[in-house]
Amino acid sequence: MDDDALRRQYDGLIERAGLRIPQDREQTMFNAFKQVQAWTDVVRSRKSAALEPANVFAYETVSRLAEGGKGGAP
Amino acid sequence: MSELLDLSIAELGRGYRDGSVSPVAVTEAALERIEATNDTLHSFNTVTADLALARAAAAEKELASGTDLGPMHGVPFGVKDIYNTEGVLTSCQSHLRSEFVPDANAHSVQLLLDGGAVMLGKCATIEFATGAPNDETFFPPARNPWNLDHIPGGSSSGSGAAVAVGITRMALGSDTGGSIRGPAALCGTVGMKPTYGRVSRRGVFPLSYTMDHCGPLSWSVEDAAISLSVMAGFDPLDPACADVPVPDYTAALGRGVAGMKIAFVEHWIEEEGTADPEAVKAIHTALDMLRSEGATVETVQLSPYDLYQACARLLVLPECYAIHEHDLIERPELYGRPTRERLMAGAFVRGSDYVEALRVRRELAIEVNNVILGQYDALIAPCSVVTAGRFDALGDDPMKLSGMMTQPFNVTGNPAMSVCAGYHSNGLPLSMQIVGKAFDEAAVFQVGAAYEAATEWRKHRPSKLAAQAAAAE
Repeated sequence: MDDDALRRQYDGLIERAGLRIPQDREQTMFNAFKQVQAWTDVVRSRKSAALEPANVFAYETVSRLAEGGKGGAP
Repeated sequence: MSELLDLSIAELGRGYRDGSVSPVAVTEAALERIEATNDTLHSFNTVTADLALARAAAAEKELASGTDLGPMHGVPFGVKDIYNTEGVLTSCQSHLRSEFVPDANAHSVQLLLDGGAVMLGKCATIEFATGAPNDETFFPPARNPWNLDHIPGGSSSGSGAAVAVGITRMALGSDTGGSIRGPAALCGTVGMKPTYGRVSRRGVFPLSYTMDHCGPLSWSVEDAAISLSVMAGFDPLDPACADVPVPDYTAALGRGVAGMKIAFVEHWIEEEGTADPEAVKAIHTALDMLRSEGATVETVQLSPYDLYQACARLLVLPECYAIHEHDLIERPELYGRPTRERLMAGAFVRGSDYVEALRVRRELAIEVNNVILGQYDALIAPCSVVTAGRFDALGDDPMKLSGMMTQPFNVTGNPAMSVCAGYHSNGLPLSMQIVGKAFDEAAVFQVGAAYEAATEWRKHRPSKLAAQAAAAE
């Protein structure tokens, strides 16, 4: 994908997110966007639908959180 | 005074109990060293001197009267400034939290205090544990005690600096992509990231819910083993905390490595591409030492380093973005630029990318845990393949990678410990990483202690600052 097309994606994401990027930092943040895209390319591959993600919560971990407690939320 | 600060946690414990060492005197020496170094080192944001002296006096009295709260009783420690501390400012190094005083302690801090440990204060961090050191934060960034022009690593930067300069034998850190092991590597200390779920994260400001780990930075492996034995344990109010018994980590320390099978992942070094030859040589020398102590060391092949790194980044970025989204939109000016920009990059990750990363994560966890550590007792990997960079060479790229090879074990959740592997010709510390099976921190300590005992690295301290501190004391 050429830089113009990537730039349109970047602009759309920034607008949707509601972020304000100073003009003198636009190119730096656009480069960061391209770096994220590169990482995305590394992890994306055709996988079996049966390959579940890590960190699927078990019921026990959710229910014990509901007990609440002092000092939890920073 | 300063020789008191050279005593290990175990030596302090023996001295306290036979009456030859006073917790109050040790705490006073630690506070004096903070006073002597903090103007230049900035390892502490907040010093709780009165509180520390009161707790030390109480510990002295308790121990004299036969009340023994365990191996950290009367031992001073520092706390990274993202851990909640009751009645004490917890700033996260940020203007956003400049007035936040918690009404309760983080779970691991409470365990240490219940064990009689003496909190010295709050150690500097990188703002919200991400980004890079900069002068826009609420407190100044910590510096590297081996050379003040160099960074101490992050984000547990003050903890690493404080331990290296001998203020304390242990300070708490947190590690989402290497924030315990990184500063440990660059400051020449030990940094233990336990298994995910081993230590409660409750009361520690989150960076990434699925990647955050809490643990100690310490001067020696034994100090780390003792500290972790007190701060680890099941917390039902941390949804990720595991109900797994905590063994006596000191039991394995003297067993050596004879008969152990150790894997070495060498290909990541070449793939990373920035390795300093002296850093690589130090790891190979360490492997030879482990062989000479009786271990079998074999080179193994894992998935490319890029895959681990991409997976880690695509998990952390959206998670920290979700945590900070409101402030990034409503009051972004209160963040320092490096942290703000790093956090904002989370907006670039799509939901399906995040799920893909989670699916890759399971595959990588299986690779490390079942394929490699199913056949070996431990794994050696590089930690930092470069020495600490200079502050004036940091640049302004928010996604800059730093030569740290720590992220893979946040992805897989395995216990991983950075140990000092000698010193570069530039005078800065070198490092390597010891990785164990899930919940087998004991094996990591066993390997680390055997290596440490075979070297003389623990005899070296940052000379210039130590001399300055000694003169002031």
